[in-house]
Amino acid sequence: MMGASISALALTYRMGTATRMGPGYMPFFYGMFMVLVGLAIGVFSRGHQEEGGEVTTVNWRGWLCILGALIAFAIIGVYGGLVPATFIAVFVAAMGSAANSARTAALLATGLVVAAVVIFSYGLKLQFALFAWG
Amino acid sequence: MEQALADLLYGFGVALQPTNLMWVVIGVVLGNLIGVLPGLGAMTTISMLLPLTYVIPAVPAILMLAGIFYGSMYGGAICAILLNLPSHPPHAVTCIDGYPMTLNGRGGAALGVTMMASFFAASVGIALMVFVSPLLEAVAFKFGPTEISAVMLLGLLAGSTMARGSPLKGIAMTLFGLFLGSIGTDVSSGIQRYTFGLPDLADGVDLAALSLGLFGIADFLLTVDRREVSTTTTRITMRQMMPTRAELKRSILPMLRGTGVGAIFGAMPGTGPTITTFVAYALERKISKSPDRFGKGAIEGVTAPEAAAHSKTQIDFIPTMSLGIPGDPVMALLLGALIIKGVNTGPQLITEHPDVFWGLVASFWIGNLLLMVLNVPLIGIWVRLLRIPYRFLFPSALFFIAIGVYSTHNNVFDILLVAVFGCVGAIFLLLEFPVAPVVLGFVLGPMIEENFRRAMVLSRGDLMTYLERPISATFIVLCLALILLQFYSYLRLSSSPRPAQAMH
Repeated sequence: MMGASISALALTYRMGTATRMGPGYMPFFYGMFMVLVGLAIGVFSRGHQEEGGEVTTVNWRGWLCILGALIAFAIIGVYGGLVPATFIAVFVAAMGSAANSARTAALLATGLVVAAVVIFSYGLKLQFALFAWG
Repeated sequence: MEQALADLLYGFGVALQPTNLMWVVIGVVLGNLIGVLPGLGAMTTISMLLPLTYVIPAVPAILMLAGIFYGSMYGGAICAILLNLPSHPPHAVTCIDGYPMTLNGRGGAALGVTMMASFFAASVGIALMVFVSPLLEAVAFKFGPTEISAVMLLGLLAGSTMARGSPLKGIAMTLFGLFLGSIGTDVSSGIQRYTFGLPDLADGVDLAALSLGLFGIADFLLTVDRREVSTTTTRITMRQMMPTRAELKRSILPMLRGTGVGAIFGAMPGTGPTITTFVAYALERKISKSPDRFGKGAIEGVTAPEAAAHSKTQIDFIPTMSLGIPGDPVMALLLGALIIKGVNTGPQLITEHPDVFWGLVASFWIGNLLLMVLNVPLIGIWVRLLRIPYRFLFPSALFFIAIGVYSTHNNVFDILLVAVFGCVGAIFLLLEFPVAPVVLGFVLGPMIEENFRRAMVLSRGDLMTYLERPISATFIVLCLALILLQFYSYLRLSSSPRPAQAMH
């Protein structure tokens, strides 16, 4: 709960100050309101600090792989083309789940590459080179 | 009245055009499917298909997206009743009595009754939409920038405070959405705001990227390796779906009451479907002569909430379409889609784009009818589909998200944005901040700003104009009432030690 209010506060400060008058008129008020609400959350949540028992553990492997897959798709998409980007993104994402072995992940990735080529290149004529060099 | 019927006929003409009809079918079937699959909500799917709508015209696009929305409501009920899996929050209530019915061997009947109730409630909702919207249209002509921004303020407040969880957090999230909406080039001065010098942000944040990150990716992040495997051996045949006469008799009144509850909640902007179904269920239990049957497979406990969910779903479209105020985040997304298509949303929508409005109304009816028919053979297939493990599902969905977002602008920057918002969304969810209001704020933000500025120009910077004009004054008063109500309920909650438990 306190973490929540702190993060809200951190967010508000950045927004509250980074405004200019004129076009910044509305954003300035958004920022002000956010500071207020952030403070209010801080005050109210202090009121009933309770049941911190259920700590949600973050699945680091999943997070890393899923976010990594998106970033990989973006980068490889530019420098390598659709086919390698799809393969690597799906493979990495699938590896994010402990239930997947490297083999099933590769199979899934291959299947989706085929689907991607058929649907997006031939079906929808998307402007995305299958392979690109550099 | 006659005018409305003529318009409706025209709408059927639009909706029955082969291409439009095709998109309706795609929409409802897809919606039905994702309604069944746990973890993929209407929100995610609509955002995933948002990019696709860039290539098809406005009318079929909106018909399809809407189809996904109400189609998923049908699907969600299947999951809740047969598997005790509330894949979507509004159906959590349906589980309470639906699953016991399955255990008692009456799962088929529960599904049959649900479908009947849904169809009935949706029809009532559509009928209301046909007759109420033109009335609103007449009022809409009196709406200037002042009124519009006042209504939107109400919509935002309602949307953020009525959602589940703490109202303050909802407001914080709405503000965050407003902030995101202000990213990009300022319309009236051309100055870039919050772009941090990134040229890719000059056009603002993409709606598809935002919603996919917040709902799609964030959801994957939180559920990887956490979803337990579910299997079912239930087989549903056509014959099982016919409820007995006694069951039918017991369902009729709850069906009507549920529809009524849904209609009332649908008319109130910002009330989510979840609260609607809970209220409908609570009402049924309260007036029932034998409340102890609830929770053990009382058919009323299935009918009423499902009817309420469906009538609300349809009626939600009234404020969205006739006033441009989305009742809930899904509506905000649909509105966003219309704006992307260059359709001017707001009070003038019905007059300026009768094909969108009446076509949509007519397509609701066709779509609901299709769902009734389709659901019977499809249930078996859906149930089998549920066996696809999540570990295969999410990498595939991730890929479709990535390529879908890329295709909106042929720009990889948006994919990175999805990653960022996914991360942000997951953190918010971990901290128990609702993410749905972000989208509400994001879509309404630019509209509010524009109208607020115009109102200020018209009144020469006098804020009192909001109180001097009767319509906007009413809305402002309603806003204040909402805030006071929240304070009141907060005080009441904190005075009695632990009433929150009763909610679960």
